[in-house]
Amino acid sequence: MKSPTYLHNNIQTHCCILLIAAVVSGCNSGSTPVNSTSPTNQNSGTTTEPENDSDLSSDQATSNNARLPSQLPRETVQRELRDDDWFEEVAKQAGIQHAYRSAAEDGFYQLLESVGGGCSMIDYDQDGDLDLYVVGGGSITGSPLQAHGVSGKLFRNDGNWSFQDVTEELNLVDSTLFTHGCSVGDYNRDGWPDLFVAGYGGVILYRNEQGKKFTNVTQETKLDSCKGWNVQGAWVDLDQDGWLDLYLLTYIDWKPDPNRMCKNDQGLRDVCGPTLFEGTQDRVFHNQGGTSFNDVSAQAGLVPSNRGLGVITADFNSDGFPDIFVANDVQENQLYLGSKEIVFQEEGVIAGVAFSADGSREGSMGVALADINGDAMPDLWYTNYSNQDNSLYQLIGPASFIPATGTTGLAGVSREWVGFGTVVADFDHDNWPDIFVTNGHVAYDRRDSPYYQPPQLFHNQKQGTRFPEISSQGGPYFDGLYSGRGVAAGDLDNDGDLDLVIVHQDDPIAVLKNQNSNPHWVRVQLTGTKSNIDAIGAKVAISLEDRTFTHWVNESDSYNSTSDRRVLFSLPAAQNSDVTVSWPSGSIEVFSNLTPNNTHELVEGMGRQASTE
Amino acid sequence: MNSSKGWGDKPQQNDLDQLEKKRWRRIWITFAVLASLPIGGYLLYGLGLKLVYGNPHTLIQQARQELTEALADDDLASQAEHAAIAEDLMRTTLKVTGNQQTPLLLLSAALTLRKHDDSFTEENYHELTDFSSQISAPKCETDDLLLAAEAFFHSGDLSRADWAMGHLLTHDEGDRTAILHLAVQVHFDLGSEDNVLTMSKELAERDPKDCMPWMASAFVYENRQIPEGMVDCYRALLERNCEEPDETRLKLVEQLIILGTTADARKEFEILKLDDPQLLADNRILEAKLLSLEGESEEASKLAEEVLTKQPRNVEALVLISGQLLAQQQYQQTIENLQKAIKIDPVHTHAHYLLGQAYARDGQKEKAKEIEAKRIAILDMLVELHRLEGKAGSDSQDVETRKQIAEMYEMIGWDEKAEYWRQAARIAGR
Repeated sequence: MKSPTYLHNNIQTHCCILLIAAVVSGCNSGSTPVNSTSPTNQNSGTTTEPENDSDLSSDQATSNNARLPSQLPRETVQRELRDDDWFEEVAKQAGIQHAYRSAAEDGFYQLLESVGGGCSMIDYDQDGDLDLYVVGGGSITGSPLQAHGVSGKLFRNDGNWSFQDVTEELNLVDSTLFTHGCSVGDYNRDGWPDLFVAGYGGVILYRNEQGKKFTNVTQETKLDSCKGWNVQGAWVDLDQDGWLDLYLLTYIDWKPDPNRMCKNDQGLRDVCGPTLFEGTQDRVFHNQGGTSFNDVSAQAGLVPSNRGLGVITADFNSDGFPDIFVANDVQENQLYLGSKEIVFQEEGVIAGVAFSADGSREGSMGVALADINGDAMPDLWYTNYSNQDNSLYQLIGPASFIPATGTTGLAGVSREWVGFGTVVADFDHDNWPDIFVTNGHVAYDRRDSPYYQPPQLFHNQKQGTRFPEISSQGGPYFDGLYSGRGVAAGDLDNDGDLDLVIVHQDDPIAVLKNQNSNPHWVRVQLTGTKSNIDAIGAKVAISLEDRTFTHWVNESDSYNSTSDRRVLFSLPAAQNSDVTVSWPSGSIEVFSNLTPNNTHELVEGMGRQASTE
Repeated sequence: MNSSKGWGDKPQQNDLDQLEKKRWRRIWITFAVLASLPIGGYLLYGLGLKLVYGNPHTLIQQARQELTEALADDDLASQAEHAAIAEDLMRTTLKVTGNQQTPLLLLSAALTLRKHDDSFTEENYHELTDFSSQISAPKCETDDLLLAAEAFFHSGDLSRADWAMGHLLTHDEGDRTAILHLAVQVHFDLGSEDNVLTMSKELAERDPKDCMPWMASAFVYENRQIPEGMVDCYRALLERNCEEPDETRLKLVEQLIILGTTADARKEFEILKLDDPQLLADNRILEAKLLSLEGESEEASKLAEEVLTKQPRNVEALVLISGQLLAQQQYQQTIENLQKAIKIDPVHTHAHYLLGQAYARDGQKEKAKEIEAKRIAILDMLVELHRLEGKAGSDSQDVETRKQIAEMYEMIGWDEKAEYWRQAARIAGR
């Protein structure tokens, strides 16, 4: 074959800057826009709605549209559960039957379909076991094309893996909002956890009426002004006044448009990526004594716009005020350092968490924090788009992170996938937090990375220095392919291990029961008195066999979800243990002689002051 | 008397008629002779020309042969000689045939191939312009058009090559595979990357053994930095036993590392280790990168150190070591290494990023911000450079763009690159 001489020459002259296109373009979007004013999709908002799915399917098959998720080939998981599997999928037998509706099957290829939803573990009736709320998503129909909501569901945990749908009786049926995130926080300090739901076009705050019902208090709490595309609300006491404030994560400035056409890497019409749209400014609401919220966004020092998909809070610079990490889609991340005045200083770049380890913008989604290496500092983990590693950053000093993805063997293991919900928690009871990630593409029919993707499980080995993938030991669920979004972890059966709940796009949610039995454990549930009542932001540590293991209390993490806020430690033997709590108020207390295999409520002020030891 | 007059009258009339006829016959004969003289002369002249110059058909055949040989010859001087012969043949043919399409086309092709020869004059340049402007592609034979297109392409005359290919591609004549084979190359040099991918796909289907479509597609994916595409192409090239399989496998490993498909990268790496250990020895940084991907950071760093002892200017090794040093919180050493790397490659944005991070971790926040601002500026500038270099690549005579690129490199402080583009501008201007 004759070499094309000029091809070589061109390549040689270009080679020095070839990487730049990728760097600048940042995260790959779902599809590339094409100019078009006439939709090829017959199901556009300007025409009639599809009569049924079969009509739609035939249209899809003959058009230049990407196949919809229901038309994509999927293999059925055949594997039987093994004794050494970490998890068993039990959703159906537990009575938890619900599927988030993404609106993908409406066939309009709208970006709204790609974001997905999450779930929250909330003990709404305070009976000691975790109930489960899952958002509903929505549909995109009508002329003009509009987003509509599908109600979420609340499942009451009756113990012994039996759940009941109590949505209706608790007054939680609501289909006004195309929903994404949900989080739990006792905003009015009445001892009953309240529920916050975020979605496209608004938010809903449900006040828990002593476990008997929920009341929509969005308007009376002045949260009804949130009309943009809201993704998740993070409860956090920003000024340490004891009342939970709200950080509202928003995505982009967007509205449905049936004529917007984008092509994927196969030249097929697919979901448009977010880079076509401007981000929006997140919002900060200051709690006015549990009655309403004051919008303090304008003074808070937020960046003018961002495309937020993940948020987590912790005191990353040890100044006593909670900081906020915001993971953005196709944009640098922010690290907001907090202050008493609720005026943030954005330090993402300087802190080392704005970009990937090589300085590239990422498409970031789910976020988690944990002390992965036993140094008592919160390390940061977030999931990213395909062709990007998920990112692990170790906190080494006040708001100072170093990249640890590569050094811990987590580079390369997930670049094929688009990571969403993630949990960093100890699933095998060695107190070293492992990592779970649910994956799934936002575009339906790309060649380079499929819509349905496998979940991943990484085992923390060698004290946070290695995280080999052990998905094959995860259980039959891990042999399947999904389009995963939200994930939450918690001990649903109170047996001393952490179970998982995963929300998929249009597929039934999965509930993974932890199969690794934990003979010895101790759990604490914190109640703040001077601090916020949920003790969000508290640091809890236990010393075991010359090592200290540390957790932080959080009520919005992963992706659009809330995990069990109780803190679980595994014990080497059936022994009483001491737990040290650093409360958000600043006080540090030791709670001694906690009996094993029990959940202990630790109330601020009731422990022994650590400083007096 | 009367009778004689009477008798005499009749023969007189007849004679006149006869004479009149004869006269007219003579006139006609004279006219015919006179008229046939130039035609005959012309025919004789033509015969003479043919006897002197040769048969045009033969001349054209010879010119085709010479052009084919010129295109097959890698030696420029020899190529020019073949082209000169073809040129002479076609000039002669034109003398015999007048301005016919085939000799005009082949003459243009011959002149084009001589364009870079010292003997190519300004007059030749004008001739080329004049001759080629008279050519009507639909009136040319497909094979001649393809031959000319190849000549245009090989001499860097992309616009004429594109003109010829445009006709060849849209008319369902000739050897479609050969046409596509050339069209892929022409469109690559024109920067029509989408066309390259489309045509390569068709070519690969028509001729599954052909390496060209995969090679061209690989170049497009390299230019666009699409690792999945590159991997597919490299695998296809390896399956077809195309040229330089070890170099291709080396590239495959590089891309698999970028994709993070660790096991595949390791597998291909091990094959390469057996097939061409020397190539790997010359590219030890690749193994360092693979080890880094596998989480063997310390080993990767050690290997990168070894690379540096032999290649102190290996930027990738410097950056890899710096990443490891940063993770170990050895900021001063990280800074020193990265400063070295940036001196060698002033637009290495990864090195800039790590340098900013090293300053930040070291508590030098202002310095970190300054470095980060510089990195962002370089990123912006590189976007523009990428665009301009693409533009320059598709037009070998675009002097201004080359000058602009040189100026931008100068601004960045990359003098070697700036000089390279200044030189390129001078060459393009000739």
